[in-house]
Formats: sequence, C-alpha cells, structure tokens
Amino acid sequence: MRLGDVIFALASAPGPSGHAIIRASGPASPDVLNLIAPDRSPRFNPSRADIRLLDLGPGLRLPARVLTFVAPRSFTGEHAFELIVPGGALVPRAVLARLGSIEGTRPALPGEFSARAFLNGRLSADDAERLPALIAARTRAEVSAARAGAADPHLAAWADRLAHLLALVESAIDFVDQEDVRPIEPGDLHRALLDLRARVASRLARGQASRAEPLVVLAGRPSAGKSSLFNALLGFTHTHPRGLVRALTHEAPGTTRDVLRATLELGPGRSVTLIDTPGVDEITRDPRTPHAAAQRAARAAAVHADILIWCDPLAQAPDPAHTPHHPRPPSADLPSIFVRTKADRPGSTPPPWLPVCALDGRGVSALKDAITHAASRREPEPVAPPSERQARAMHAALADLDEALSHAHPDRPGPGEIIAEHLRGALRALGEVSRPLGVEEVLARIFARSCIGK
Amino acid sequence: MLGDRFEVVVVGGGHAGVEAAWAAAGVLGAPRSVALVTMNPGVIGAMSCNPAIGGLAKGQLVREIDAMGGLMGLAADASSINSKVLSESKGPAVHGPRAQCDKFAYARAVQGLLNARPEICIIAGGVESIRVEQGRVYAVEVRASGTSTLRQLSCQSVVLTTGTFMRGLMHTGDDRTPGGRHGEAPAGPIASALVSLGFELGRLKTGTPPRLRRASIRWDDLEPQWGDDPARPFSELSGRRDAALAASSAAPSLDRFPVLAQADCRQTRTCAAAHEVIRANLHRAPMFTGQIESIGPRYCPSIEDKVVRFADRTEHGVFLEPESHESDWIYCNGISTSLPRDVQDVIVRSMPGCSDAEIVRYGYAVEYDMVRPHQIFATGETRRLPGLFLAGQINGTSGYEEAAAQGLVAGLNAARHARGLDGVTIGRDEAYIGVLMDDLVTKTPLEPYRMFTSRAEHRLLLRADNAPDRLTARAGALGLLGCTGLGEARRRALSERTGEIDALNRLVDAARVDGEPLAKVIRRTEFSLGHFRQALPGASASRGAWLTVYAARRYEPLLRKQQADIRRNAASEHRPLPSDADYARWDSLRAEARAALDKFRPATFGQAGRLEGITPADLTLLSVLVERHRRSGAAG
Repeated sequence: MRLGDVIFALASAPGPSGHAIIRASGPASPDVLNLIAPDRSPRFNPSRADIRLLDLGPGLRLPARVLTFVAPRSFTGEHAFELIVPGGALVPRAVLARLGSIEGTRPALPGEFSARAFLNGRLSADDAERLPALIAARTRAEVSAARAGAADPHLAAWADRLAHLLALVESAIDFVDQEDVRPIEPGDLHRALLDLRARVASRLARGQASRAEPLVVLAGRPSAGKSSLFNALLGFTHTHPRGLVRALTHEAPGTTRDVLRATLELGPGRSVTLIDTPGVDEITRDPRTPHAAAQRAARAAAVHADILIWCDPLAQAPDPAHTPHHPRPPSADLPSIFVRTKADRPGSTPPPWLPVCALDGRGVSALKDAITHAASRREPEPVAPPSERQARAMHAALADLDEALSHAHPDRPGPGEIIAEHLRGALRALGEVSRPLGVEEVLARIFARSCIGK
Repeated sequence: MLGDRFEVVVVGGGHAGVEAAWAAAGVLGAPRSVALVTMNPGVIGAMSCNPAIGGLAKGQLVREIDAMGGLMGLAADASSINSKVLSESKGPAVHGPRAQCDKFAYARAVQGLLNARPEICIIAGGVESIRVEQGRVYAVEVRASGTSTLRQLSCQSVVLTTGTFMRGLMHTGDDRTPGGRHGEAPAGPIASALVSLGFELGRLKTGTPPRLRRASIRWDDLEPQWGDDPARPFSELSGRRDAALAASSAAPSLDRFPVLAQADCRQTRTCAAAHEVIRANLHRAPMFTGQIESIGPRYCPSIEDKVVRFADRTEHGVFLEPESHESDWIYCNGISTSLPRDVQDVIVRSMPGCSDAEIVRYGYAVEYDMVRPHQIFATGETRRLPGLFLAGQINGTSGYEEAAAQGLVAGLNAARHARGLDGVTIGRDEAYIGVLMDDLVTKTPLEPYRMFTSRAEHRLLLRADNAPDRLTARAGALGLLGCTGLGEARRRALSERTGEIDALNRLVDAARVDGEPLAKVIRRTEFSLGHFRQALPGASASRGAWLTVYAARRYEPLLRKQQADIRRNAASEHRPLPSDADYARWDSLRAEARAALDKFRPATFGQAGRLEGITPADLTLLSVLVERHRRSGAAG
C-alpha cells in the first residue's frame, strides 16, 4: 500500500480493438508523464487532451492522445493521466513496459485505483460499501494466480540460485571475521551470474516467441560468417534483387552485436526460430561496453538452443581450449550441425561438415534439409510464455543482474556491498513472482554452509 | 516516603538497563526521577561473556547509541585494550569498529557515568511484583537485597531488563545451578508476575566458554593479534579537548584515546583428538541429552555443536583474549560449552600453547525466560500493559549492543510516557536501532536475535561513519542529549563535522582527476580513501569527515535511488493502524492475513507489510477497511 508510487494499468479491455486506454495515478504523475512523453514546456492542466509523442525507447516514438487530471479533481483524487494509443497486443504492452521502467512506478494492485479514490473521498457511499468485497475477490484471484505462477520451476530455481549466490556474497561481508568463511572466488561469481542472466534472458526471449518452435542458434567464432548464413537461410542474399538484408554483415570481427531472431519456414506447418548471435570470443575487460552486452546475449541464446549450427570457414570443430567462455559447445545432448562457411574459398570439407556459401547460395538447401531432419527428431518442449507480471519481474531482475555483473568482474571485483545491493534487488524481483526469499532464508543458507561462531 | 516516588523505574543493571536509565535521565532532567533497581549494584555494567564491544553490524549500533547520547561508546573508549575496525579493507558501509575492553574498567566507567547523574538513584534489590491499577503500571514492589523488607517504588513507567536472570538455570555437564551468571542468583518472582499479567513467555539458551589463567599458557608460542595503530574510538567525544568535557566530572578521561595500554590477543585452535573426546562424551552434553531444551543461536554455536554439525572439520580456531589489565584471566573465544568439567580440561589442554593451562572458570550454558516480542511495540512498550517497557534479552535478543540499543529506545519512551508524551520509534531507514526494533515486532524469533548488516535494507546508508549525521540532531530534539556538558560537546562536535563535510563536498564538486570529475572517479573500484585525500591536497578535515564524504560520494547513485524511494513512501510506511481494530472479524481479509494482523497487531502500514503472510494486495484492502473503520468511528 505504497501510496507514493505512481500506479498504472490497462483500463480498456485487453485484446484486439481500435484503441487502448492506459491509466496512471499518483503524486508524481506529472514527472512520469513528462518522461514518457517529453515536452519542451511540460503542462499538466486540468482535464486537458493533447496529442503528444510517446518515447518508448530508442527509435520508438508514437503519437498518443493524452488526458491529464489534476488532484483532487481526478478519478482517484490524485494527479492522474490517461494515454489513448492504438489497440492490439504490441503497442499497449510496449507502453506498459516503458511506464514500468520508470523509477517509482508499478502496475496497480487489485482494486488499487478504487481504493485510492475511496481514501481520497472520491467514491460514492454505495461504491465504497461494495469496495472491500471487490478488492477481496480480485486479491484472491491474484493470490491464486501468483501461486500458480510460483509453480513455474524455472523462476523458483533461479530465485533459489540467486539466494545462494547472495548468501555467498553476504557471508563475506557479515562473517568475514570467521575463519571458516571463504569468500566466493570472483571468477566463480562472475560465471554463475552470467549463467543465471543468460537463463533468465533466454526464457524471456523465448516466451515472447509466438509458438514453442525449436530454437536454432548460429554459433561460432567472430567473423565465421554466421550473419551471412542467417541472411542466406532467410532468402536475403547479397544478390537479392532489392538488396535487402536482415543482418548487417561485414568482414570486421564483432560486426554483429545484436541477437537477431527470425522465423525460418521449412515447409508446410514446419518452422523453427533461427537466431543469429555475436561471435563468442572472450570476457571483455569492461562489462559495461556494448561488446560485453553482445557477449552476454550470445551466451543467453546458446544456453537454451535446441539445435546448434556451428560455423567455421576452416571446418574446425570448436576446441574447448579455444572457446573457454562458450557456455554450451556442441555435445551429444545438443543436436549440432557443422557448417563449413565461405565454401567458395579453397579448402576441403571433411564429413560431417556441410559446405555452404552464402554468396552464391551453394549448400543452403542442404543445410535446410539438415535443420528439418534435426528438428523432426526433436519434440518441441511446450513452453508457456511468462505472464505480464512474470515478464516484468524478470526484466527487473535482469537489470539488477546486469548491474551486479558490471561490478563482479572476474579479475578486478568491485565492492561486495554494491554487488549484494543489486543481487538483493534481483532476488526481490524474482521473489515477487515465485517464493519470496528474505533475509532469514539467506542467513539460513550461510549458517548451513559455514561454521559461524568463533 | 518521598524518596520512593520516581517517574521511571528501570529493573536490571546490565547493558540494556544502564542505557535505559541514562536515556530516561536525559529526557526527564529532574533529580531522583529515575530508579535503577538491581540485585547487586557492584556488578552494574558487567560483561558477562566476551569482554568486547562492537564488531560487524554491532559496531554500527554502538556508533548510533553514541550519536544519540548513549553511554556505551564512552564506556568502551574508556576501557579499550585492543581496538580494531573490522573489514576496513572493504567498503565504508561494512566497516565494523570493535574494541576488546578491560571488563573491570568498563563496569567502572559505566558506574561512574551513572553516579554523575543526579537524576539516577541506584537501589539494591529484586523485584517481587509489578503493581497495576486500571490497566496501568503505578509501582513496583522491591525486596531489598539480603533482607525481607518490601519497599514500594511508585512510578509512571517501568523498564524491565532481566537479561539471563529470569528463572536463569546454568548447566555444566549434569550440574545444574539456578542463576543468571556465575555466582549470582536468578530472578524468580518477576517471571510469575509477568505470567499472571497475561504475558506469553518463551525460553532461550546461551553459553560462555572457559576462562584460563594467563601464567599457565605458553603465550609467546602463539601468534599475536594486535589492534589498529593508531587505535580509533567509538565516540565522537573521545579525544576532544572541549571545555565542557573538562567540566564534566562524569567523563574525566575523554580528552585522550586510548586511555588504557593496548594489549595483544593470541590465536590457537582445537584439534582432532579433542573432537573425538567430545564425540565420545556427547551422552554427557546437556545440549544433546535433552537436559537443555531451549534454542541457542546458530551464529554462536558451542564447541560440541560445531563438532557435530561440521564433522569434517579437524580444527576450530580459538582466540585467547585478556579480560583485564587487573586480572590474569583469559577468555577463550570459540569454545563456548556446557560439557562436563573433565571434558573441558581435555579440550583446553589439547590446544597448542595450552597443554598446562589452568581453567579458572569452567564454561557453562544458561537457560532463561523471555517475553515473546510480538507483545511489545517498536517503542519497547508492552501492548498489554501501558507504562511497562521491555529491553534486552527479555525480548529474545543476544549481545550487549543489541541490549543497549533497546535500552536506549525503552528508556526514552518510558520517560516520554511518564510525561504524557507519545511514543517515538526509529525507522529502518534511520538506524540499525530501527531495524532491530522493527524486526522484533514483525518477526517470530527462532533463536536469540543478533544484528547482521544483511538485515538492513539500507545498508549503504546506515554506516558507522555517518551515525552522528543521521541521529544526533534527532536525539537533541528528543531531549536525549540533556543539558549536560556532554550534550553541549556533542552538539558542538556535530556542527564542526557538518561544516567540514560541506566544505569537502564543495571541493569534490569542483575537482577533476585526469580530466574527469572527481565525483565520478571516486566511484572506481580501486579509488581508495587515500587516493581521495591525495586528490584534494589543500583540504583539511577530521578523519571522520573524510570518510563520510568518501562513502557518500562512492555510493551516491545507489543512495540517491534509495532515498527517493524512502521519501516517496514515507507516508505509507508511517501511516498508523488503529489500536482498537478487531482484525479477527474483518472477514474480507484473507484468513492468513487476518491471523498475522491479529497476532502482531502492527502499529503502522509499514510494519504490516513486513509480516509474514501479508501481500501488497492485502494492504490495499486493509487501507480501505481501516479508513471505513475510522469514518464509522468518527460518525458514531
């Protein structure tokens, strides 16, 4: 019941419709509105309707009708606003996500708009009379939904893993005077956080896919020709009549920074999700660079790959010594296809390697057949997409994990208390959609592991 | 009978009791307004177990107590024989100042401070009963020590600090002796008095290790452990040459630190053979035979506990710590035990350097009664009986510092209650003291409660270095600094400190390092306090001001975020809940939420939100129900 927060919710019925209304209320509404719809001369006038440009992230701007309500003359008695945007699934979700990313905002709890209206004397006596029953019903529905969500084994396992890591970090702070407490090795912490981050990110990315298609991941060292192959498989070659490409390609290593995804149709009713990743090379010195972010994304994709396409122009299998940071090299439990890229160049192609040339299209259809074969051997694992709440919590956890990672450098570890601060944040976020793990659970893990008490 | 009329009566002369009496005296300011009742005034301020003050998280508590005008930091500074800031190589938020103290000098310092206050009257005796009329405390009945004379002390408030004495029972092997500390009798009648008033009691266990004679240890064979050089004090006042201090007879030694010569500790260890003997004698260990049924702390296990729970360990470290310059007793930090004496002999004599060691006092465990803390408010006052306050181990905590912190809060509020003023609480975002009180009233303790920095969600803000900035002004407004010379000196120290911090901050804003703003460079991992001082070569400030500016700037982005969050939700956090709500009948609440509210009866929405079983959605509904309750009450 944090009345200082700006709360928001979709006020129109979800689903296909011409328009969607998003409602927000709270003391800092004017500031929040100005962040999401920047205006040189910000106005927050009584019951005013404006067209303003919503800023939904880099390169994503969208005009919306904005209605502002000044306290106490609003439905809640607080400063409030409404955004009227095109309906459908995507735009309202993007607006809600952007609102939620602003400091001091959160999705409204069941019945919270009405509760605030009541507290501010804006409800009729009859409505007020019915309010407790209404909130109770919605709360019960939410609690049972949350319990169902908490049954998601991934979320619970990640929260548990995070509590374990936090316990290791906290024990080096609170019990440093104990001979039995050994701080976690910075390299181990870094690896563990990377792995956890990759899993959360991949679950998020995957949950957004429309179907549970097999994930086919293009992997290999930088400049192995992965992006060219990605383009070629999707039918975008350099000789395409309109010069269209999906992924930007270039000879320079590290050209690909984003994880690109596309649906690759393999035949009637059969498709896979094809993912292009940046080449995995080494852990960069500064984890805050775009390069480091690209590396994390690549690992995230690899962790949940169903089929791996390992690309190498010299037909060299990945050597663990050469790819020590690759979280999941080809192995027996991961169907893998080995592609000798740039096959127009001289060289031999020993089995099981497939020669493919993205420039002239040689071998592309053979590769599609190989993918079809690998995909048919594998029953797609049903994956329910995360709910809105779960997705929001995972995004929040990711943001904190990234911050923690930026301090938990394997060679130059940052301050433990700052790393702990971000791990606490991530644990709180995951706890909201699984089992809340508080101080007592973290302490219990410390006491179970170390002999504390000198 | 004029002498038997007080405003506040404090029962118990341990670390909670003395801090409660001191705080109440500050607030009341009237001669003979506070009575401190204790069975043996000679042992007021005794260090029953480890002769040390502070440490990780506990050091923050001591700094806060000092910033609020308390006496623990002053007494520790007057008696330190080995001062060290733990974790100083880590970030400033987790520095833990600690001092081993001369236990006799410590108790003398405490008694000297109390004696210098005309408000406090020390009475030797044990409490027989608490007198209640119309639901309020009006007196306590005291039996004078060594007599059968009953004496009634009338008062407006009572602070109970029974420590380990309430039905205390000590165990060494199958030997059982009633008492709260070696050689001292238990307090019996008070437990029955509380039960008959309707309080729900629990029982806890703690323990202490054997003490050795120094001359019997081959001291020079063992690795020494020294404190910091130079040693640094807890109190903002120590080392200040203030005119007001010179005038204050209570604190004669404050102008210098350390007062006593610094001493070394030695390190030794248990061995596998001794662990075998312990295992072979578990059938004689009260912890395992069922003789002790109550729960001890996980963070301070006995040596028999360690051997059982961590069976793969072949040794455990033991620190040999001098208890005083005035005696040759050595405290064995690490082998708290209630095993029989012959087994203790084997354990001690198998430690390197100790083959001929003489045990001058055997270790023992003590079981004692506590009052389950969901029965108090965060002010220390009991919900059941207005005017009755509890502090220290009686609330299920452990540790001198935790006890003192509660004593300060309870003493302050007992005095306010006596004057008809509202109770005050300290927020979780203000101090570890606030975290402690809030945890007590929102959680069900499963073991004696000890402070850890992990418990503080605002750990980066609640630092040892900035305690005066957080708390001294508030303490002054509450009357805790009194109008003594000490209080004046604290105000002056704070204002000097604030000036230094402001000046340093202005310099930071203007300075650049390698072409980058210092305010940004200071956040680099490798940028130390030393680098910071070098970056501002012309600046001069006290060590404390340097550290505070360094810490605040290093944590700046996180602190800004936390403080915005605190501000945004202050109103909801402190929004009161009605004291007369019958939650059990508020049917629209979920059963689990109803039960939690009914048991803990939180005072604020903030507290309610921290109860187990309460979800944010429950709070929305609760806010509506409370508002309706308020309107219906107002309507008729």
